[in-house]
Amino acid sequence: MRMEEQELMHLVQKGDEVAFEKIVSIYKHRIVNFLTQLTGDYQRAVDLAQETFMRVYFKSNKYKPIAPLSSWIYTIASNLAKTELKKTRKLSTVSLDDTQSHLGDQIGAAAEPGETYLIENLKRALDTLHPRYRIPIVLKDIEGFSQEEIAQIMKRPVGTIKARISRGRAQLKHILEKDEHNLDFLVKPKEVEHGTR
Amino acid sequence: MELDSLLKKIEPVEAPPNFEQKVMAELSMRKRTSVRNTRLRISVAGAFSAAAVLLVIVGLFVLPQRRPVEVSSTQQQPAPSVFDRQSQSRVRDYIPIVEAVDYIGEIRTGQDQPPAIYILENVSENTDTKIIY
Repeated sequence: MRMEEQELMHLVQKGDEVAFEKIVSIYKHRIVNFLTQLTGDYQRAVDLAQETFMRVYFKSNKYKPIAPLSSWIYTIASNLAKTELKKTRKLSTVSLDDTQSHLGDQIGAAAEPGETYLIENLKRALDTLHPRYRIPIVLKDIEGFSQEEIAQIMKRPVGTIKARISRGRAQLKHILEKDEHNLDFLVKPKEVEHGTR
Repeated sequence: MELDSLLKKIEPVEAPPNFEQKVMAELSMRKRTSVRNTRLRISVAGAFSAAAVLLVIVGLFVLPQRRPVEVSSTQQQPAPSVFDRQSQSRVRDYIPIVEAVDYIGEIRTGQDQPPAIYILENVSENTDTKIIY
């Protein structure tokens, strides 16, 4: 797979649009998912994913085959997401309506009814995290990258990434414990409504 | 429940069905824009370089010809000697003011001959004063 991707990227560097379309089809779902988890907004994530692929094409000459293609694409995507988050100042303020309406679609079918509000609270807590902690947690626990790969994507030492993941998880737990009582009355009545229908 | 397992329960989001078409349409649009920008950049750069070349040509070949010739020649050559000045004066179309006159022969033979009267005139083209004898 990696070899095939390198060949595709080599073709893209020569201006091959068919090869570029293949790369888009390989990574589109992963990048859109990653950006949705970071921004908390699906439509904005789609726009950012489009911009990510534009940069993949126009900056293809900057790619060096020493690193996996996925790391390079995720680096572009995370940089764009960071810039976007800074621009919109959405680091600390998340619209509760937006999050709830969108998160309802994101909760997996495998989740039991009792887990639903837990996942919603977790997602909300994740949105309040600083991108410095949010990005490595999303890459590790949702996208499934190793710590070394995350270090490559974020251009930071592995030790820094380990520390950020650990601190981010601790913050998540703290937010969940702190807000458990406050969020219960926001989430649970909704479930009661669903249950009564 | 563990945090890791909860995070993994978040269902992954998928890209919209027409995502690739949108990306390719955007790509072709940006390519066109980039070609236009490149052409504009090249034409602006060409205009600037042509103007620069023109300025250099004017500076090197046109402006020096308007300067006096003597200035450029005296700066490079050493100061002219007396001989040079005399040879230059021959070329010129005016008579030199300083003229050597030998009176020795006149004084030696002055005893035998009647005394000679020399009338010295002020030779000048510019003067407008009358000469009174």
